[in-house]
Amino acid sequence: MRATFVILMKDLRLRVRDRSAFIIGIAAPLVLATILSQVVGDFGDGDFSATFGLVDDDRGQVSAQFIERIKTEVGQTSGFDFETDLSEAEARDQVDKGDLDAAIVFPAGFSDAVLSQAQVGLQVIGNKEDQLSAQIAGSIAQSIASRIDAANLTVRLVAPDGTPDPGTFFAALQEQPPVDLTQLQSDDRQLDTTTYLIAGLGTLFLFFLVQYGVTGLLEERQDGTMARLLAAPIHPLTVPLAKALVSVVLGLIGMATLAVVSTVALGAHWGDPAAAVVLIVAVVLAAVSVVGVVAGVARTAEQASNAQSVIALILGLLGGAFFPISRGEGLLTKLTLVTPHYWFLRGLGDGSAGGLGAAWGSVAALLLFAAVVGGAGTVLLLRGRWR
Amino acid sequence: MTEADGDVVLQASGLRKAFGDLVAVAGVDVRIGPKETYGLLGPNGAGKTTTISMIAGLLDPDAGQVLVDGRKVTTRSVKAKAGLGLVPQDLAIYPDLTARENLDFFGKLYGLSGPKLKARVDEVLGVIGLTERAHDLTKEFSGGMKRRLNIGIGLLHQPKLLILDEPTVGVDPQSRNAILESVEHLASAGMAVLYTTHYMEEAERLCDRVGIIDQGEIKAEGTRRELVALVGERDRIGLTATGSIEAAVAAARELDGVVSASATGEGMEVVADDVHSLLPALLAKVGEAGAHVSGVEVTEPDLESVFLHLTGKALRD
Repeated sequence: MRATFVILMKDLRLRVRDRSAFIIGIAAPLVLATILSQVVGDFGDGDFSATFGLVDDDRGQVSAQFIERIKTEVGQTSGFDFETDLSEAEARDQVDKGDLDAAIVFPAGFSDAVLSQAQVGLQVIGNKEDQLSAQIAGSIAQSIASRIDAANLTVRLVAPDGTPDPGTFFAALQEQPPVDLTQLQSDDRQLDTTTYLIAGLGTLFLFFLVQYGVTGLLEERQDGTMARLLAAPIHPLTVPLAKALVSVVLGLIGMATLAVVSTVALGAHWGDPAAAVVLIVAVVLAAVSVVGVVAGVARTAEQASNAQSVIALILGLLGGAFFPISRGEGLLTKLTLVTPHYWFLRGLGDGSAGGLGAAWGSVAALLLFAAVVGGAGTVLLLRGRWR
Repeated sequence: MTEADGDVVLQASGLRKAFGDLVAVAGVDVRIGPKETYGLLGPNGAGKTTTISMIAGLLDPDAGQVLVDGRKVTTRSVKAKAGLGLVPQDLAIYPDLTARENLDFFGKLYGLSGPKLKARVDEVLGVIGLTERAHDLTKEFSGGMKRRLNIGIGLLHQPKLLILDEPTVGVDPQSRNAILESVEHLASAGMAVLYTTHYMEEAERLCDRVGIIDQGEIKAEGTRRELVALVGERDRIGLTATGSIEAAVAAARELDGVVSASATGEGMEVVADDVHSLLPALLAKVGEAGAHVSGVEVTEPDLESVFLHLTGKALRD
């Protein structure tokens, strides 16, 4: 164990002098995440707000009722405001200027057309630079149309001869709100953008960082020092063990520094500290297991470095290191489940909401990954191509 | 070498190693005693480094065994390796560590620590002449300085057996001489040394005994004189002389150790077993016989000619 520690300290000293480990493990993910979070914006924080215009060119009974109900019922949802008493031209002008996020226009003759069960259209005015608001306005309009269809169906059922009855129509219209906005929470609780990007990119760069330990085996062989190490009175497996420990220590230092610095300087929220610590340890072990396989197969340090870079990028892309991966049924989506990045980010999200107890699933997945891949790496290393 | 097993530092018996169809070492035996410097002399590809690797515990032999100070050496040995010091053919130092840090690191791997480690590092830095540069990164060193540090690391823990694998390859003449002097110093201090080289003059200068290796086999082994005698080579003395040459030739033939003597155009030539012990008596005898000697030229057969005789090729082939 003493020899393992001696080799570990020597390698860490070399890495400190080299400085590349610091750049790859800490500086690069911090800088990239800062830039990306500025470029992308904080799209995931749940603080959405919008002001919609409601234009009543109809001035009829039906449009008035819909506008009133939208204001009272949809307006209860936090962040939504409505402007009325606008003409279509004023609404269009304000949307273009950005004073309104979108507008819904009830055209002249809307009430008469609805009550006579004739075809009628609602108009949605949106700004192409604010697609989300336009989509919400469109959803409200769609909901109104659906409600009108449902009320008309009720009228037809009550009066089979099809005679329009405004009383029945309005009674049916009262039964449901025009649109039901519910604050939905996804199964996978989300990190805010800054934290997601820093954690994702940190994991990506972790896979580059840990190679400095294990692939050091190949550097020792290339530089001629391996012969001297193996001639020393130590068990031969001390050398790969020490190199693996170097990877683990570098990975832990890199991720821990990233978490602390990003929290203090960038306002990242890594969630429950205990969950974050356990997840960081687990993802570092998973990353080291991958580099163990690479070192067991590669013949030179350059070969190992290239292979590790390709693997790191593929796993990072699949695992959502750059942007969240949508959940679905496709093959690529399923492949995210075999990446440590996905489980780490998911675990952080779960841990933020439910603490360590909620993150155990992700921790178990990461440790399983480390055990399976690390087992393969150990077998390859025992074959001794690195000697 | 003392033949009693108790005095054997290295005993390698029947070492054999093949890489696929290529038999690199085919049954090598080497025994080295205390204070003895043994040279493994052979051309590139003869099997020297593979033999060294098995002796140092870097490779496990396919057959045979290695004992150092009575302990069996394998790739997994720990205690036996503590008695070994290896100076690999390629530089085995860390360029981004200082000379002292390199020595500290390897010293700790060999179990040294604290004041003892510091004392040994200071001592070795002195032996290899790097005390003044102890705190410089070794990547700033000249080739010769790196070679000296490479040797220093090998002897840091005062091994019973120091293995030097072609330590002077690619070294300038000045550094080479410094390295050879270091090895002579170590041997005189009591260390057993196994020295591989393909430089005949190094083997002749340093080694008490030499094993001539080619194609993975020790072709012959012994002191230089024993090897020379083994292949029938003799010392030759050419005397430039005037006067009674025929009488001088007859007188020379009467001396013990003279194999043959004959007249030449410039004087006479004598073939002998050991020119150094014979020469004073020969000059006296020739003078008494009436020859006036004006020049002496001694030609001793070297290991190059022995190697050529044994293998049919030159050392640098």
